Amino acid sequence: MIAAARPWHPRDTRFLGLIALALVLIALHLGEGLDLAARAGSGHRVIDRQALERRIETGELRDREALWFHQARPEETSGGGRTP
Amino acid sequence: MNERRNELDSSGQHLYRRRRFLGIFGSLLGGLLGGLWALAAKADPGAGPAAPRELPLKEADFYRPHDLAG
Amino acid sequence: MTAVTCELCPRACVIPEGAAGDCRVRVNLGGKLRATTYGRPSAVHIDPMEKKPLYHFHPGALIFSLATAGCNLHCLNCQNWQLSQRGGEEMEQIYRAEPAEVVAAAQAERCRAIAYTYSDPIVFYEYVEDTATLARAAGLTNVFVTAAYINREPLRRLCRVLDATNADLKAFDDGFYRRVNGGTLKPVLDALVTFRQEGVWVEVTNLVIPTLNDDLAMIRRMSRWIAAEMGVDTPLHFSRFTPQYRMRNLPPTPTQTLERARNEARDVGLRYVYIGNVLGDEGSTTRCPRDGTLHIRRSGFVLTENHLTPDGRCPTCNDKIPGVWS
Repeated sequence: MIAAARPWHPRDTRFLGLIALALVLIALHLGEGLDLAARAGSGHRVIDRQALERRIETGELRDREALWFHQARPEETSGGGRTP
Repeated sequence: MNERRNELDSSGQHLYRRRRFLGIFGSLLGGLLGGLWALAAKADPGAGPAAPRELPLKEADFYRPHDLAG
Repeated sequence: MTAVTCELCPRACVIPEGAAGDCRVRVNLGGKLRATTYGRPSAVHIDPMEKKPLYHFHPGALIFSLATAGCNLHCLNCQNWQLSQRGGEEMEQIYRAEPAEVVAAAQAERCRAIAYTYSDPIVFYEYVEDTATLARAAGLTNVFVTAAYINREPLRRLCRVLDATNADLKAFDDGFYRRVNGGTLKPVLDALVTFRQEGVWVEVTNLVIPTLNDDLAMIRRMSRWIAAEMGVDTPLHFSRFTPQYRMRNLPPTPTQTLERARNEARDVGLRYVYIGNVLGDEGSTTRCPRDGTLHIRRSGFVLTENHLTPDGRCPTCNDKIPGVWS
């Protein structure tokens, strides 16, 4: 392996830069997801809507209207940050 | 054949070694991605006709042991 | 499509179209909030009443117990996390059990009562209310086993069809509720008072977790609050913690800690203080607060002796023992 080592080449720098860029993009993408999760937010959860609707169609789950809710007011939907 | 092995590119690097490296690396990467894709496809078959998993209440064994609290 | 705001619990989730509330099972579809697990429990069992735990409510009776997926708290030590920390679409097993079917099944199995339990029945509120209404009409009683993180108005309405509750008071510390359970303390205290005001029989459970909520001074403050706001006859159950879910780094609660907690609670005047999850302990025995007469002995969830008169009086001094005995 040491015998195969060769002097550093400018092309290698570009290659490493490409890898670094890829890692940074991955980290940013993951970080965005984490940020959403960590935010003391509006309290809702993103669900697998397709799976839910599939189960409602087959009758395994229901779409029965719940009690105790109202249409969200504008001041409730603007801005995040509601802690319980 | 030996000439091909010793062929150099414009910057003086051995083309053969580079192609070999790219070939091996590309195969490994392709195999990894393909394997991951196959696993993901198997684990999540996606939307489609649902297999019913609901049970009528009368078929439940109410007395089976369980470890739910409360 | 419009977002909706849920009014059921203090979280007040603002839920966009296609998303669920924090509890995972109340979903905005078509601009309306849907109770997706209505009539679709994932856990149905028959348990002894003592398992809820209820010690002063129809002792020795069988209780038909059910729960759907979901919960509006996220306790790090949840024992039922595979049910409570999931939405309905994630469950492998779902029963079809409309309210009338539940009542019929409970009657067929000679159950005295129906318990809405395991996860938190707050999140399947509509299912509870409809089933409990039919159960009452059929002569069954309704038990609500809950962490009590619910708004006052929905609770008041639901109390119309409830007969008893075992409610968790996880700690007398708001910081604990925020860090460990993902909630706050005050709504729980308000809910306990509401249960009492509405005439629902209340028994309180406190799970004692080493290093987190086993401080005796806090337990004393909690006991004082219960004595003052709920009454000294309110049964209090100290329960033993075992490592669970996302809290596996702490040891089980030492028996000595539970005994000390019990002593603190009795010191401030609570008359019926029990230790749960510890087999063979005197801590699960009911005695007369006046003369110490043995009333009920329990071994685990099994009643082994019951000396109370049919109308719930001490056989020695004839004092009425608080509870619902027949």
